[in-house]
Amino acid sequence: MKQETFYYDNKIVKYFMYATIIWGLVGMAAGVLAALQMAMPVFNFDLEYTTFGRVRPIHTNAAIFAFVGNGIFMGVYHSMQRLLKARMFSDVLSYLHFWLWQLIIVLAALTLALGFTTGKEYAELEWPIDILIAVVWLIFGWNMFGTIMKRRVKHLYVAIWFYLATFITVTVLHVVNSVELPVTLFKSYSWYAGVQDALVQWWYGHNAVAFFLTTPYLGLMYYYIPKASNRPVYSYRLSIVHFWSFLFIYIWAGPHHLLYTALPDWAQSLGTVFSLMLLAPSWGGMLNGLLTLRGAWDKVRESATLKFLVVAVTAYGMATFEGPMLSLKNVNAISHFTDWTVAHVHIGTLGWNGFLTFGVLYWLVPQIFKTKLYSEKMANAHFWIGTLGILFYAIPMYWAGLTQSLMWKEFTEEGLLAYPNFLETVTQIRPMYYMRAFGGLIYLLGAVLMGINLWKTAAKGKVDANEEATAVVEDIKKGKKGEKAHGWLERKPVQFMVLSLITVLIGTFIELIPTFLIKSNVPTIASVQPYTPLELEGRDIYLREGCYNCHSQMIRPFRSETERYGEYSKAGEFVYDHPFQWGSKRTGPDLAREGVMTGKVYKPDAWHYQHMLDPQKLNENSIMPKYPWLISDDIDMSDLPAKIRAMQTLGVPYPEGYDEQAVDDYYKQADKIVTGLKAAGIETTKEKEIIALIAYLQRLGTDIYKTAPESLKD
Amino acid sequence: MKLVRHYLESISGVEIYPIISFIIFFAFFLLVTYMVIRMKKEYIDEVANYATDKADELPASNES
Repeated sequence: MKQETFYYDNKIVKYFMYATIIWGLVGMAAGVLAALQMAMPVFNFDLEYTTFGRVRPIHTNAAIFAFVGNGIFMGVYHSMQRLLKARMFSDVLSYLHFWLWQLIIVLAALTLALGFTTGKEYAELEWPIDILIAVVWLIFGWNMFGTIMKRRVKHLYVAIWFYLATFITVTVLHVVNSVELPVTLFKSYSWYAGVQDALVQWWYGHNAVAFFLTTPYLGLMYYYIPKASNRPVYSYRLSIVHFWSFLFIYIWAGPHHLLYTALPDWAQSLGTVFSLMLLAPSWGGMLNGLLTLRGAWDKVRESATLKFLVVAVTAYGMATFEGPMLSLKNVNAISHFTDWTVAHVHIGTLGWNGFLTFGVLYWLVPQIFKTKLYSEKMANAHFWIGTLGILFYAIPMYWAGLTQSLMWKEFTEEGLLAYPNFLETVTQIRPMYYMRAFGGLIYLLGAVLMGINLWKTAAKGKVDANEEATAVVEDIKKGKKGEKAHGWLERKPVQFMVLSLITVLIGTFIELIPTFLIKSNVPTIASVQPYTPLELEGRDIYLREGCYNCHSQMIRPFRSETERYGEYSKAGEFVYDHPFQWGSKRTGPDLAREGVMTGKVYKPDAWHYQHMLDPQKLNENSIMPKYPWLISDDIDMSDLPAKIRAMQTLGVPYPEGYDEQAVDDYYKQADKIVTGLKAAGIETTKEKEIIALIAYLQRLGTDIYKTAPESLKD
Repeated sequence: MKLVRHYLESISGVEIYPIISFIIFFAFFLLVTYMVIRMKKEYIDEVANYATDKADELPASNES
């Protein structure tokens, strides 16, 4: 046996550590701003760059991809080198990975603030950034895999399986969901439309939670809990069952985000069944993490690290119990579109991701800087402030969610909606929004305290950029006694990765393939026609302003919804929607039948004009941001022909050569609206953005009430 | 929900989907469980301790 000396790269760990802390604070601050905006619309600052519709994607992207993303890389680059007894494969790849990822984050923040968005939740970034993400992700994978190949340890520890699964699945998710047709450098349309787009999006969205927010963090859990408690993992066997059943089941559960929508019933049922089954591996993993601390609970009292880790794993257990419950159709009927979902998500992000990151940081920073933590007291204070922050966040949101649901669904004895005005509910839960903002604010303050504590710790220590280590080189070709099939697999990273890929692809194929076959099965509604050029531009404004963050376009088949909004939504109505805009939350009312003149929610053009200019002038209690720039800005129509051609490529049946006629048609339709507004005493011109948006809103949901064109009747 | 039923009917044999899915998973689960049960204790004890290698870290007195 040969003993070798080599050097761990601690500098890259330090880099990702700084990035995690800094972006964490930025992401949380954006969250606090978004929370304040929902309580007090004045915090939208009447600027397009700072309205809620743009701040919310900045918050979610920063929290997920910047904070947790850098947290993942920090943990992976630290633990993997030690678990494999090897320096990272290539320093060039490591630093390329680091700097390009930070570049992506900066580009993301800038483009989202400027309104460049694909309009798909958690995948808002436009196509050039999508490509950059794919490239950087492959660099990460290459570096990781290279390290695995040159390891000195025979077997891959469980944490590394989770890292591998993260890499392989996120690659698949990102590529499939980001298939889009570029129109310009910063504008693209999703390749998929309507029902298919929704299914692909939530297959992605759900599994981004699974494979970006969960699997890598489970890997961290399997490394840092044993480290911090100095106990081996409770059951290695359980971790194997945990890993494979997690991988297999999670991928199926996406459709539970689309219960009672126009998604086919079988896909909804499949999503529900697999979501319930998901409870088993999730809790298996949680118990494995908590039981690792058996005999070490006395340490939890002293150690801030362990406190954070224990609460993180407990929050994971709570969120993964709640998830399957929310996937039951009868529970989902109540919870969906309300703040309940927001509460659920934040138990996961603030509790599981946030606290696990904090726990790892408190353990790792002193290790990397070869010193003691500056103040254990401050760390413990952070723990209690953070916990209080989570409670102040979650409890009001659960309360708000239930209130919304009960008020939306209540009928009077005469059979009428008890609260027909949507705003009544908003007004009722507004105090909860104040409390949530307070919860978020103190959670952020706790993180600031951590920043100071870790800063001071770093200042008194010194990083050993290339830390010397020695290890016996094991013969990775020869198996260990008693390794059996899985032990063999743990020596074979390529086979391991292929098997993981197959495991996630089974669910993917079974779920997605029929949905694509559906294309021929979606009952075409003959009267559903492509958007006019004016409406298409209006729709792009709707996307740009992130209206989907607060408004759904999906009326579920419940009496409480059809009474409030009108006829329930049909799959065939969305066939030209690239991307779909069903939304996932109703901070404001549903807009699926907004344009139906004889409908329940119709508003005249002049109302929309005034409402966009100043919602509070029309409804004192409204929390909608003001959009004055829509009134004053002229639309940029230079891309209109290209947009029409792109839509044609995607299969939207505009007549051939329509791109040349589109501008004329645009003005013709705009003229009518301008004339109508004039009659209502409003002076404007046909070039204004507001005209296009009004045209789009007035088109919503109207198709099924029209007669099909003569040419299509047979 | 006539429209949704229409989908179900128009994908031939769709009712078999959830059943096939469950069978695939159950077989998979049994396979993993079987593999896990067969593994030897000595092996498990060794690999389970990979994370707690003390050579990788500072003395315990240092920990938070």
